[in-house]
Formats: sequence, structure tokens, C-alpha cells
Amino acid sequence: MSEYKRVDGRAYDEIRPVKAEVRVLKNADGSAIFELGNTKVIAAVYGPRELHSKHMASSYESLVRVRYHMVPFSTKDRKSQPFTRREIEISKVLKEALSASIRRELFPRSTIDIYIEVLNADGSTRVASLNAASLALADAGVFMYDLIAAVSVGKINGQLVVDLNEYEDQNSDSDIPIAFMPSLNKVVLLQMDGTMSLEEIRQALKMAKNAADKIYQVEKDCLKGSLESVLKVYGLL
Amino acid sequence: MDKKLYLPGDYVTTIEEFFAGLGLFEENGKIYSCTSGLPKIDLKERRIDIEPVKKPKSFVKKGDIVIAQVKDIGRNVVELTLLYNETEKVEANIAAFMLIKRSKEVALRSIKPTDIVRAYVLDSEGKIMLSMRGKGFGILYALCPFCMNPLYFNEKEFRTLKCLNCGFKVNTKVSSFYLNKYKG
Repeated sequence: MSEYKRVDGRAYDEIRPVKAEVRVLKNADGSAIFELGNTKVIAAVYGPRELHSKHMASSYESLVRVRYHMVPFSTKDRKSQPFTRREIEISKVLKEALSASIRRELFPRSTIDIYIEVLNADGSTRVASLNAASLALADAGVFMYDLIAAVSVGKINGQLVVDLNEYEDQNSDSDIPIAFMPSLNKVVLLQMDGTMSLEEIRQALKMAKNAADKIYQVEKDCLKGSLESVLKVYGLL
Repeated sequence: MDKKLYLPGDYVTTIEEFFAGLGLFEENGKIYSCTSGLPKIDLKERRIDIEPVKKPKSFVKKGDIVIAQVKDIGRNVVELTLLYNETEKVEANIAAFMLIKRSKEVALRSIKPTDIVRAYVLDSEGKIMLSMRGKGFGILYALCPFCMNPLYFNEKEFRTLKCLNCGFKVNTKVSSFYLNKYKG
């Protein structure tokens, strides 16, 4: 058994408190706010709508555009407003993960724009962003294969831990952000920073799956609560 | 199954029991929901649909009646932007096309950019194709190309729109729901 103790006193396989809320922005077609401990992310979805650079349009599926951005006050030191290389890279990987969960063939020649703003960064911002964007897409009524439940797993002092905060993120030997579509048992995002043995990766995936299932349940409860209140108003439930 | 609220990714049934309709998809012989909504079961056809609580924007399917604005006229095609899906009662903002058999010069005499039309969806696989054939379909609202005042429709003068300001007349396919009507 490892001697390592986590800075916030959590168990190795314990995630931070999760909070989710949908319909937080009036003007967006779908929106959600997702909190993972102190990490707080807001996502807004617009569309499917007409694509204005028409040469980019596909006749067979919709285009998904993702903008991941951290607001200047999201970190301890002020983050400059323009896009950094990191934000551009994360926008790309989030776009690929979200595209895999959307039924894009139902909306040809259109675009789905997803805007993600990190309001407070305390580690695992890309997985929190994926969870927020997935909820916002479901809130917009976009047809999707499944909700995405994402979580990060890392190795610190030889010990595998789930849901890394900022301190753990900076001091970890390696970390894996991973996103699942739990109902279909599919992985839509898997990245790795650092090194792990094959046995450690197997163990990390197992821990990530268990943690993702808990996040998935929170997402479903949040969506269900929001929709049931609407249906009850119209007497449909 | 009746009053249960389904969310994206929820297992609904198997392909042996029902055909997957709107808001559902098949995966390894199982049928899953791809939207949030209540189930609608047709036991006669053995078909199940999920009626979405919130319909996605710009969602059109074959046979839907839509309102669209003419953007451009090409050699044998009219490019439009959908504004509203009358059947699904949802706002739409997506490109659509309509084939015309006449040349551009002839077509421009009857339909022009900025005209608002009522049409139905012929095909939604790939490009969204519209048609104005049939009663009730055609131009809903048009402006005079010379003085930009609204054109008026007199039901006695079949297929003719007239500008009451400058007297301009155009012969075109007018919808029976045309907005500005006058008795003359």
C-alpha cells in the first residue's frame, strides 16, 4: 500500500464534489454549467444552424466547431485574453470527442457551435469542459449517441489517483484524461502525459470507468430534473 | 414504458420487438434513445419513436412544410434559407435548394431573392430539396423590385401579384396563404 496522502484528503478513487446545471443562458439553444470541486466550466451550444463559410459545409453531416477558452480570472495569475497554443489544442481534441457523440448525419450542411469558458481552473479542465459541453448539447436537443462522462486519472509517487486537482496535476508523473460514452461502453477521448506501465494503464482505466459512472449519474439526474419540471408544467408527466 | 422519460444513451428495447423510429438508433441489436423525450408506440406498425421534449433547431425531414427565404437564383436551382419548420414548429436556419425547369432569366421574372415562400421538403438526405408544387405552396410575401413596396395578390387575378404603388405586375406561383391580399 502506498504512503501517499492526497492534498485534499480524498481517497485515491474518490472524485471531487460534482455539481451540474442546465439552461443557465437564455440566448443559447442549450447551455450548462459543470463544477468538479473548484473547477467551474460553462458551455453554450448554438445550432444546428446555417454555416456561413459554405465551402466548409458537408452534404452528409454537420460540422462541429468547438471553442475552449479560459477567462483571464480563471487562474491564480492573470491569463492573457488571446488564445494560447494549449487552448487551440484542447479545442481540437474536444471537437473530436464531441463529434463522435453527435448524430451529425441528421443535420447536413449545418454547423453546431460549442463555446466553452473555464470560469475557475483547478485541474481537469478539459474533462470538466467535455462534461459541460455534453450536457449543453443534450439541453439543445441535439441528437446524440450518449452523454459523455469524462474524468482524469494520474500517477503521483507511484500511486494511481482519479480526478486530479491543480496541485496534483502539476506534481504528477503522468496523467490520463479519458472520456466515455458509458451506455455504449465506448471511449471518445484518451490522452496521456508521462509514462505508465501496461498494468498501471489497465488499473487506471478501471478506476476511470468507476469514476465516470458516478459523473454520468449526476449528469442524468441533472437533465432529468430539468426536463421533468418542463413536462410537469404541460401535464405530460 | 409509457410515462418514462428517456435521455440520450438510454436503452429502450431490442430490434426483435420494435422498429427504431425518430429519436432512436440501433447498436448491436439493441435500440437506444438519442434524444430526451417520451416514447410513442405504434403497436400496429411495431414502431417506437421518442417524441423530443425540445426539438433540435433546423431539424427537417421529408414531407415537412417549411417557410424559406430566397437567397440566390442559379442556372436551374434556387438557393434558399429555411426560416421555420411549420410541421415540427421549430425555428430553422439552414440552406436548402429548389430545382427550376426554366432558365435563370425566365425564373427571375417570377421569383427573386428576398421572396418568402412556403414549400415542402422533397428530400432531406444530403442537400435539403424543396418543392412548391400543390395548393397552399408558393410565394407568401414579395416586394416590388422597382419601388420595394409590398406586392399584393388579388384572388380574382389568378397567379398575379401587383404593386399598388407603381402598378408593376408579375405572374408567379402564389400561395393561397399569401399575406397581402386586396379586393379589386
